[in-house]
Amino acid sequence: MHKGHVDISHITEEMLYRLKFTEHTNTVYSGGFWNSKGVAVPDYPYEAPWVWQVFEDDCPPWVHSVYENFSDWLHYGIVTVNKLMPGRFIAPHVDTLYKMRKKAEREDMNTKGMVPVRVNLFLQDRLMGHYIEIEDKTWLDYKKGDFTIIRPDTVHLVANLGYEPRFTMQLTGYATEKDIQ
Amino acid sequence: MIKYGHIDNCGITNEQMSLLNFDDYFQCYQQYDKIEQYYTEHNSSIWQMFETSPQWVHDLAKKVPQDFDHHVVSVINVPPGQTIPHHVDKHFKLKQEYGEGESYRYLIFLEDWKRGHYYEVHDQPFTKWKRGDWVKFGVDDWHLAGNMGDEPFYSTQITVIKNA
Repeated sequence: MHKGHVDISHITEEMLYRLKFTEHTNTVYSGGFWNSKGVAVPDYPYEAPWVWQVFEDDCPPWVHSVYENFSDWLHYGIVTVNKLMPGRFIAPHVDTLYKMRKKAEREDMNTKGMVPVRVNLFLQDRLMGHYIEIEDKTWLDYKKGDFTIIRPDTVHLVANLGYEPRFTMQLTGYATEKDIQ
Repeated sequence: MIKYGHIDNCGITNEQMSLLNFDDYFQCYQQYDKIEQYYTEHNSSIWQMFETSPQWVHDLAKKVPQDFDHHVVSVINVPPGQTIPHHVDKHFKLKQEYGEGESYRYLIFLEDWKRGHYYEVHDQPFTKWKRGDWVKFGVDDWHLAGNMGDEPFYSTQITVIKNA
């Protein structure tokens, strides 16, 4: 699992709690993951696989400014913040990075020699019951500002089995293989 | 005091697991307000069996350290999507039957770890376990478990007491 760290000490808990989330996304179908595995969609309780999200233009300026920490190697980046409430999870899935790919096509971006990737940035120290698993590997002692890189073909899941919201930021863009080794 | 160990050659098979016949499906305890708010009968219910557990479950009690006078057994199945939220076990049933004393629980994992299966005690996350691994913890050790995968999460609890 790729692990890195950037200084985001200026981001406070109040800034996280003041974010306005515009979409409440149901993840039970896991973007076609179950279908691709040839297994039935798990019988998850209806209220469990949900995540609050705010995308790109709806994010406040401080979210966009975080991207500056990555802009020397993550190109054409778009930002999202996820809020996972207690008792909720995003079931196993692979990211298709559909929006990123479509944007690259639409805007005729020069992505030659680069691959689409997603940076998952932790906006809090790990709290009780907060969980991430990538390709059967877990990261259980992360700190605020730590990040990992999720490639489009890697199975991952996140969960919040605690009692405080779990905030993360996703920065999606294109990078060279060399930069994400 | 949390201890970890492993039962060698525990002899548990996948077939035994599939033959388990659970009789009790219930909502997990909610021991404080913050938990009540988020965990309901819909996302926090589990299957459990106690003394009606098959003989191989009772036999597991002979395979953990014999540091107790009495014990009770149970098997839990956490279905996909369900969480056992943060809680402590008070071992009421054990103490009701065998009196006061120092009590502990051996949690034994009945299968190798699977994607999305999760356990945490005293803020110490636990994953990647092997079938037969166990965790021993006491009445003051807060813990939780969850299943975000697509297969049931089976474990056995051997709750033990040593009378003073």
